[in-house]
Amino acid sequence: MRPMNKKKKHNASLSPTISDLSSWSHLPPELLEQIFALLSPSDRHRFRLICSPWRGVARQFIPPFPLPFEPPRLLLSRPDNALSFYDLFNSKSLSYSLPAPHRRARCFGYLAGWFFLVSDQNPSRACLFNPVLLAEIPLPDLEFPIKKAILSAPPGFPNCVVAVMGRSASALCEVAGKRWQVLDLGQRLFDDIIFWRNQLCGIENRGNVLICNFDMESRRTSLVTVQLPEQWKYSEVYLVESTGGDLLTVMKYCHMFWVYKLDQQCTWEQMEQIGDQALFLGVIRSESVPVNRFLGSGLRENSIYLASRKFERPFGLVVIYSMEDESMTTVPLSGQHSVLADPVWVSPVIWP
Amino acid sequence: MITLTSSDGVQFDVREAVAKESQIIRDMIQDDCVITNIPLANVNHKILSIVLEYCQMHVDKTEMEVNASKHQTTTGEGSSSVPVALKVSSNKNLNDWDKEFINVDLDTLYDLILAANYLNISGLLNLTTQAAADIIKGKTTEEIRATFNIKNDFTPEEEAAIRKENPWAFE
Repeated sequence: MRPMNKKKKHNASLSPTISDLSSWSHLPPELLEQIFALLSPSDRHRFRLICSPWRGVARQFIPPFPLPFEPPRLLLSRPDNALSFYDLFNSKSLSYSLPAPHRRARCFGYLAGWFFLVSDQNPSRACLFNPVLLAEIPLPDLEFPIKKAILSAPPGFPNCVVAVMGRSASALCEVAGKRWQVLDLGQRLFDDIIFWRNQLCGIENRGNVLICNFDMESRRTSLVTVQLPEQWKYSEVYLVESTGGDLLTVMKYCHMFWVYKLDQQCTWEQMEQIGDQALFLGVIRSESVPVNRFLGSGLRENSIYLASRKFERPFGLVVIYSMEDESMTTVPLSGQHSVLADPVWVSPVIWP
Repeated sequence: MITLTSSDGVQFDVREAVAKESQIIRDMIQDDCVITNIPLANVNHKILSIVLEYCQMHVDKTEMEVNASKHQTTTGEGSSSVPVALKVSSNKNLNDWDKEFINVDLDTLYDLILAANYLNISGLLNLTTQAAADIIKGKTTEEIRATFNIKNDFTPEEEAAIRKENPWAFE
C-alpha cells in the first residue's frame, strides 16, 4: 500500500520548500502542547527557548500541582553575598541573584517555587517571593528573629498557612493574614518544625515531638506529645515526611544515622531501610524524594543527603549516607558557600 | 469496502473496519450508513497510505486476538494461559512494529501528526507526538533548532530574559 520506502528522503518534488522549513514552529498549539506534556522539566525549559510559538505554548501550559520535578538543588550563599544553585548530581553550580529589592535577603524556607525571604537590613521584614512568576506576597512584620519558616501549601491553595520558628518562640500566620499568632507552648521551644497532615509538628527541646492542631479562627491549640528515642540527647534531629506520607524523625550522631517512623500507636518505630526514597535534610528545609522518578539522575535510593554548614571543615558540605551499607561519603564545596547562612534544598519547579 | 480519496485525488479502497480506526470516519459512517466514498481534503496520498498502513496493522492484530479467543471458547478446552500468552506476545509485536513504523524522517512525522489529529486516530496521535518528544529529549536548544529546522526568532535580550526565568533548570 505504501508507495515508497519511508526511511528514504522523499523525492525532490515533495521535499520541503523554504516556507515549510519552519513548519515545526507552527504546528497547531494543541499538538505542540501534547508534545510539551511528554517532556521532562529540563526539556520543557529548553522547549521554551526554541522560538516564540513554542514559548507561547509552554506559557499556556499550567501543569497541576504536584509538578514533575528534578532532584533538589542546593541554594548556596556565596561569601561575597551572591547566591548560587548547586546541582549535586552533575557537580554544576549556577550563580544566581534575586531581583533588586531582595538582593540582600536571606532564605529561611522554600515550597514549590516560593521562597520565604527575610530582609538583611530589616530582620523583621519578611515576604514570600516566587522568582519564576516574579510574584511577591508581603507578610506581617516578624516579632522575633527566626531560624526557619515553613508553608502548609503553596500560596493560592486554600488554607495556606506559614509557620516560623525562632530562638524564643514560634508563630503562625495565614498568607493573607494581618499578624502573626504566637504559639503558646509554655517554656518549650522548637528545634525543627514541619507541617504534617495539616498539623504543625515540632521537636521541642526536652526530647518530645509536639503535634499541634491549631485552629486559626479560635486560636486554640490541642497538643499531642510523643517522646523521642533516647539518642535525641546527643544527636542532631530532623523532621521529614516520607514519600508514603509518614512522619519521620532522623537523628545523626557522628557517623551514625537513625530513622524512626511515627506508627499508628503514636510511638517511634525504627526503620532499618527507607527503600525507594532519598531523604534530603537540612536546617532550613527537608524533603523526601521518590528515586524511581529520577532514574538516570544519579540519585541513590535508601540514602540520606544532609546539607549543613557545620560540615564545612573537615567534612565538606553535603553528607551522603547509605542506609543499605551504612557508608558515608561527603561532597566538599569549599569556597562556594558562606558559613554565615544555611544551605537550602530547593526542588526545581517549571512554571513557564 | 469504503473508498477514501486523498487531497491530491488518489483513491484508496479499504475495509470499513480499517477506515473506522479514524474517529471522524467512524462518526460519518454512523451518521449515514450508505456512505461509500469519503474525500479527505487535508491528507495527501503519501501520508494517507502511511496512515492506512498503521490502521490496517492495528485492525489485523485486534482481529487476530478476537479470533484466537473465539477459537479457544468454541473448542472449550484450551487453558486460559494460551490466549493470555498470545495477547502478550502480540502486544509486544505490535509495540515493536509501531517503533519501527514511526522511524520516519521529520517531514513525514510532522505530516503524520497533523493527519492523526485531523482523522482523530488517538493511537497514531500518541505514537507520533511521543516520537517528536523523544527527539527533543536531552538535546540542547541549538540541537533542537537544527534538527527541526526552526529559526530562533528571539532577540538576544529576549532569550537572556527567558533563560533567567528559571535559573535552576540548567542547560
